[in-house]
Amino acid sequence: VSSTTVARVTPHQVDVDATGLPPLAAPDASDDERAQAIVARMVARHGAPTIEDYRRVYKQSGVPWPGDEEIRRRHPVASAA
Amino acid sequence: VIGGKILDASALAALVRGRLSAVAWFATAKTTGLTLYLPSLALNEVRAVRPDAGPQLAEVLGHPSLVLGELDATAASHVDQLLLMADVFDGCAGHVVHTARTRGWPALSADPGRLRRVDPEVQLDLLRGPMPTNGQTGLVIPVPAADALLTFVATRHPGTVREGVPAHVSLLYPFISAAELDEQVTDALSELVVAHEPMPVEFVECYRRGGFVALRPDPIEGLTELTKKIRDRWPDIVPYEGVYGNVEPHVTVAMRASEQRAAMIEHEVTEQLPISAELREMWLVVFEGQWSMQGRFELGAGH
Repeated sequence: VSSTTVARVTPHQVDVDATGLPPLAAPDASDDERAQAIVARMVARHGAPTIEDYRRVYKQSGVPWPGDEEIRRRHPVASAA
Repeated sequence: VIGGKILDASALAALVRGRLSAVAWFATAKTTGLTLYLPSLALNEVRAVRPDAGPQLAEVLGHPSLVLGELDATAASHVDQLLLMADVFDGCAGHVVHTARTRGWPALSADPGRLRRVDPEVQLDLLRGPMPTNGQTGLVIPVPAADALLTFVATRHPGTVREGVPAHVSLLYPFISAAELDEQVTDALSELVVAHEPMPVEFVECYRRGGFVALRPDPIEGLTELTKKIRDRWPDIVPYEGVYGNVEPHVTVAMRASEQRAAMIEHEVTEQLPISAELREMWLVVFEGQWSMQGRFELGAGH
C-alpha cells in the first residue's frame, strides 16, 4: 500500500514527499496552489526554465513581457551559470 | 483571455523528457490565463511509448490549465476526412490539427513536420530544444570568408552566434537522419552538386527579423536553384521541420538576440560589408553531440 503526501505549498516551501519531490497540493487547494505544486514537482525533476524560455513563451502567447525581475518573482527560473 | 495552445504528442513527450522549454509553458499557463488543450490521442501515444511516465502524466492532467479533449465520433469522422484529403494516416497528428482548426488555437509542437504533413498551413508554435538532436544531418555550403565576421559578432555579443558551426548557407536542414544515410544518398547528392559550377557571391546586405540577423548572398539564384533541386529530389523532407515556411538562402549571423541587440549587430555587421566569397563545395554535416562534416561534395567537380 502506498500513500501520497499532500500539503499546501508555496514557491518558497521546500517540503518533500516520500519520492523526494515537493508534495502535491491538498484536495481542497485552489487552482493556483495546484498549479504551483505541479510545476514545483516538474522543476524538482528536471530543473527550472531559463529567462529565455519564459521570454519565448510570453512572446508566443502574445502576453506583454513584465520584465525579468517580475518573471523571477512569478515563476521558477534557472539561476545564471 | 488569450486563448490556448493545442499540445501534440511531441510537446507532451518533451515535457516528460524534461525539456525546460516545455516546463515553461506549464509554469506560466495559470498566470497568463492560457489553456493547454491536450487531445486524448496525443496523451495515449505518449502513455504507450513511455509507460514509465505514468505518474508524471497523471500530475500533468491535474494541472488546472490543462484540458483533455476526447475524440468523439463526430470529431473522428472529421479527422478521417482530414487525413484522407492529406493522403496520410496519422491519427494523432490529425486529432491535433483538427482541434487546432476548430478551436482556432496554434498547435504547440516539438515535431512540426508531422503536423505539416496533415495540414501545411496549420498554425503552430515551435517548442524549441536547446540543441539539435543526435543523428540529425544537414546540407550546407560553407562560407569561410564570413567566419571572421561571425567570430567578431560572437565576441561582441556573446550567446547570439551559434557555436561550433562555421559560417554557411543551409540548403536543407534537417536532411535524412544519419542512420538512413547510404551510398545511394551520397551518389544522388554528388550528381546534383557536380552539375553546378562554383558560385562567386557577394554579401552586401545584412538584414534582421526580430532577433534573427543574416546576410543575403548576391546573386542568390544559383543557391536557390541548387536548393530547389535538392528539395525536389527529397520532397518528403520538410525544410526546418516546417517551422519557418519558405526561407531564402542566407548566412545566419545571430539568432535569439533581443530586438535591441539584433539592431546593434545589424548595424555593426553592415559596416563590415561587402564580403566576397566563392562557394566551392557542399557539406553533409551530422550532429552527434557536436556538428561534424560527414561528406564533402565539390561544385562543378564533374567538369
